[in-house]
Amino acid sequence: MKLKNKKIRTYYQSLQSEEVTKKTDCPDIDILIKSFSDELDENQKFKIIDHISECNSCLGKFNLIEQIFKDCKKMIPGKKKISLNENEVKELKELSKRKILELDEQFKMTKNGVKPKPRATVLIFPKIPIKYLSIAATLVIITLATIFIIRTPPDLRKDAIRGKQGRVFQLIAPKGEITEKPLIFKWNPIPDANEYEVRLMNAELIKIWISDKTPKTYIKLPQDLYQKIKRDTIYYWKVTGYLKDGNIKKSGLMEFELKSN
Amino acid sequence: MNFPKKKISTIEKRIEKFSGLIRVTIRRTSFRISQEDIDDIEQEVKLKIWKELLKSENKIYDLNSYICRVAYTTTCKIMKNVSLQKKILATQEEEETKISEQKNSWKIHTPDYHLEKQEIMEFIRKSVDSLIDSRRQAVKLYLLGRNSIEIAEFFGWSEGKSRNLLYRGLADLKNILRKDHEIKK
Repeated sequence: MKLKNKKIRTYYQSLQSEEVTKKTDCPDIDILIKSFSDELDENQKFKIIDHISECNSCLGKFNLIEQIFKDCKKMIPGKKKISLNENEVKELKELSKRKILELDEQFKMTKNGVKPKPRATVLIFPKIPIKYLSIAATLVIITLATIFIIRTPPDLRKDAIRGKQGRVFQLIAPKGEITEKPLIFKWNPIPDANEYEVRLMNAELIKIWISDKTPKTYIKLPQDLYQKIKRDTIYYWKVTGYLKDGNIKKSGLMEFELKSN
Repeated sequence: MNFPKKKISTIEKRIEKFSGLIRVTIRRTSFRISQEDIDDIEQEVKLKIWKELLKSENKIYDLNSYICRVAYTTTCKIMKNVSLQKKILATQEEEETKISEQKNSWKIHTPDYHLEKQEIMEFIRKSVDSLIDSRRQAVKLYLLGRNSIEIAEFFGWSEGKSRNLLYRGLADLKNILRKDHEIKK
């Protein structure tokens, strides 16, 4: 299998952008600002990277600060040092005073409703005739629609089967809407499997129970947990098969809902 | 000695150019900020930079890096204040939008799709976390979209060190991912 660095990165970013992650131990924004200077040592920077790779909220702040830092660096083309002596610094301060007065004046004018001189706008696109822009937009829409159709995954829930090797795992019960007690999970055996393990998850796919490994093809939900299963709520379950050669095979997800009588 | 006209116009031009860049950056990264707010921030950035220059010491040994440092700290401070007042950065609204986008995505895709995605993400994270410290950091920044030069700049490493750690880290990561793929096969 050939793994390309860029592919791993693209895949990682696409997965990460869809996540809603916010940690509680977020660093102060001042620390993020300092991370682009020499004020923090390597270990402190390591901690920041560990944090932002798992916290989308801080990653957004980090990206903005990094962009400001890059913009600042664009101010200094070349590495030539320019030093200012005392007189030159005095001149610079005079210039600063004039500029501050100018800007204050502008600010007052804006507040009083007087329009300042129109600023030069940054053109992102060069002047392209509307005809060509509409053709380009149509092509983009067609391409995106094709990608969307190709990438939409098939409904894997149908038989709760997963993997490329065909119908390896079939889950029998519980399935769909059920009313009876007790809750027994049943599935068809798979060749070469020594033991099985059942995972029960809530509607947000958060694990609420992992069974002990069993050689049987059924398992009963423990009584104390059964009491906690809410009625009229969707749950998912899946089975992992442990094979003799040490490999594992996983089923797809099966949905069920314990209906009130 | 008079302050040369050329130097004055260079400083003015750079600060003007910088405030224009800040404008583009804010618009690109904080979509919910209004045009008036961007104008205000740009004005404030310029004003604060000039005020900071007014406070400068009697001698400046490296004007370029001095202006760069002043611009960076000033802009960050302003953005921090704005974000505290108006919560532009990572607002609750943005997070709510993301949650609702995620809920919509749940309607489009099957739970199997989401579970598989969760498992893959968890696996990649675990694999990256198992790398040795410095390689892990280089790989993490790479996965977040930075190249070896940007990684070197952030950590204060040489370009060679950064490239070396990144490629070794990526090779380790690929080995772990490949091993898992073979086990699954």
